[in-house]
Amino acid sequence: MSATTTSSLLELQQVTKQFGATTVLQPTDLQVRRGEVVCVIGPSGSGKSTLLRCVNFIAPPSTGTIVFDGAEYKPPTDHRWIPALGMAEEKRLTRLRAEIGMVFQQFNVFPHLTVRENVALGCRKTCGMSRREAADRALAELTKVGMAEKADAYPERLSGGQKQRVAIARALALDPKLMLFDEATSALDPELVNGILAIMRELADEGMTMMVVTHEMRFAMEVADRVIFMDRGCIVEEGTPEQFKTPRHERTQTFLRSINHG
Amino acid sequence: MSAVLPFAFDYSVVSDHSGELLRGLLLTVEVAACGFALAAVLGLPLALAGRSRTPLLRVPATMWIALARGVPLLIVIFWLYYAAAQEGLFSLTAFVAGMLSLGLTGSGYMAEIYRSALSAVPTGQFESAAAIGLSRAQAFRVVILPQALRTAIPPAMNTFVMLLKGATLLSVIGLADMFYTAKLVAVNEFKPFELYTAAAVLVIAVTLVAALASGFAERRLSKGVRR
Repeated sequence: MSATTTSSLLELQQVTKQFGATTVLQPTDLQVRRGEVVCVIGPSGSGKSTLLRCVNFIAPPSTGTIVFDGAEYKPPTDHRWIPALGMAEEKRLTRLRAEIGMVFQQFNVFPHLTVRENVALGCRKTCGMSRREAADRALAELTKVGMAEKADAYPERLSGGQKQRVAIARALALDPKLMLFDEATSALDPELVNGILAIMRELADEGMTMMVVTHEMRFAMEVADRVIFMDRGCIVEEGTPEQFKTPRHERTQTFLRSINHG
Repeated sequence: MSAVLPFAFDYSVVSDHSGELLRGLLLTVEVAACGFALAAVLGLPLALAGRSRTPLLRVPATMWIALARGVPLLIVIFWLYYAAAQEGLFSLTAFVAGMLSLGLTGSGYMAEIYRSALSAVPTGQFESAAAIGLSRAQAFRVVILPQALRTAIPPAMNTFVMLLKGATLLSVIGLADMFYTAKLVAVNEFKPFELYTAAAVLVIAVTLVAALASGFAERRLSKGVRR
């Protein structure tokens, strides 16, 4: 392990996820190096999103270990009778989440806050910035995604693409060590997709470590250092984009054919 | 008006006693507002306890809510005012007993209102609040609750109106409220029709004001989320 911790930022060891009797994620091992861009592809219901949600414990894994930046995280104990006993564990996971940015398919911007407040909120509550500092930081992040002039608007006035830009700025404002993109462009109108992909591409070029669940094969092929194909809760195949041009597994071939001609 | 009505409506008896009636109305509104405030304050922790994973909180909260909504207000009033005093538990003034009765009954309704308002906030909001490193308490305070309160306002106003109407029951324990005054004058002057009609109109007037205030509060809180 000592050899891997230096180079890998994230390591999943035998991570599984069950919802009741259904196993959504079979035992999975995965390592992500610093600066690496990993694209996760696969049919819907294959466990891609669950994999991502396990990483920052938004959907805590059922079993297994996650090592992030040298620290180990295990599934939290379920203190059903006295939830307060889980506070210390929960606090540690809260700090972990602050180091990992996440962008959602449905944007999930806060509708009751202005664009600027959306981005500043995390800075204030998580990084302990003052109101003024946080507002400045928010504006800087919004400028990077081209949303500075909408800083005082409420999200209802924004298009899907603009909301997603705000969501990206909100995640980046915390200086995350890892960014998770959960189908960030799937809910967008086709003409807005490229703008978001361009931001993600730029982020990758700047050396951000990223895990990207996506259906945009072109993006995956051009930006990813590594592509992972998942099906039925398992990683079926992984390799460089080059290797994915001639996939080995039949399920991968079928999937890639279906989206290329779909 | 008298041409339309098949009987004479004696306005003078109402206007002669308007001072007393309005003073009574003020008391009615006061006790209803205090009861509603109590209900609104109790309702939130009750709703949270009712949604809790631990049965230690969930079961008592669920029972409280069921009792508060199930027991008729009149019985709660009598119990707090007469029964408790008879058993030597505590003795309350009519105003305090009234406020507590309205508050306890209202707390069950308010808890249900908060509960449904909280479940109406999309789970994505919890998730994105967690994803920017907010603790559960922070996420609840700055992301979930503000959105839930907006949804809760119109049904909460219904509860207030319900409590306001319930407050007229407090005349039975001798609270000199608007209805008590109306009854007294009606008996003395032998004009029940005039006085009870006046009482109804007064309650409706307050209800309308409350509805306006609720609409105002809703607009204030709906900043950015007009639908």
